Amino acid sequence: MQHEIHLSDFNEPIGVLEPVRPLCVEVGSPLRAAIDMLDEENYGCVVVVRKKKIIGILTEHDILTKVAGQSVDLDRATVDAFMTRHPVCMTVCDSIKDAIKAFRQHNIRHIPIVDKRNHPVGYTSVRGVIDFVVSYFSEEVLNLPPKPMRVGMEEEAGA
Amino acid sequence: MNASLVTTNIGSLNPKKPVCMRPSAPVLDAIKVMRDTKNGCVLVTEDERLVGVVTERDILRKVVSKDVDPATTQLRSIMSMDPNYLYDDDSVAFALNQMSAGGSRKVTITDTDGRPTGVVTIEDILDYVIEKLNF
Repeated sequence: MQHEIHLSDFNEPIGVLEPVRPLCVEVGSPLRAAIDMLDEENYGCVVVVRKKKIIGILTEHDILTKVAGQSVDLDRATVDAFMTRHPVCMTVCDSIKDAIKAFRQHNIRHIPIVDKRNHPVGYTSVRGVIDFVVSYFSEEVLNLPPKPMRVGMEEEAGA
Repeated sequence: MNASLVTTNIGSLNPKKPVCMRPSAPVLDAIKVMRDTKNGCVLVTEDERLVGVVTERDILRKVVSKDVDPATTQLRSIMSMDPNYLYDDDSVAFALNQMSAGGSRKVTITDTDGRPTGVVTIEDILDYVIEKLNF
């Protein structure tokens, strides 16, 4: 993929973003179980299911806004009380363009991908879209050093 | 689009004003500020210079999941040291590099003295792409 990126490229299905497998917990699971999964797997969200069907999503943003610094017993509280119910979901056939619209319209970072039975099969994220964009710019972006070369400036800044 | 990505200055994306706190500040204060200001991170500064960053993920992994008391814990003990930063006249391509290859969701903008002046998020980059492509 080395041609100039065009709007039509975003008509590709989100399946090309190589969605990652979702972390799933059963409704009623202790909040600690979900938090431990997020921590161990270094994920930003966990999908909450009932009989394999998606019913909610719990993100690290939910943990910050609803759990951190508050008197929540992680072993007694369950994921249901903190998850977002009826999350925006898509299928692998939906377009990247639609995913981008959903990200910005709903101000979310993660979208679970479900099959016909509403079973979660993956999720896509703003990061996935950005990586897709970057794939068109491998020479301009990925070959850059992590920081611009600034001869004589780093020492002055005391970095 | 490809060319403008390389040439556009990151400062033109209107970086958000950063929230800065001292290393000795309680984590609980940072949690409240992040919640109230809808910022996904707090920059940690010493003598006005960037020394660390605390993100939502740091709060989850180093505080909540470890049952650490945020009221009695200082930011210095959970912050990520040596955070990436750019100057506002660096190109958007460098921010993309740090986000894609480096895995960060935010890039701090500092002046040449290392004082934070803004934060650019991965959503800002997405908005830039949307605007450039006339979504």
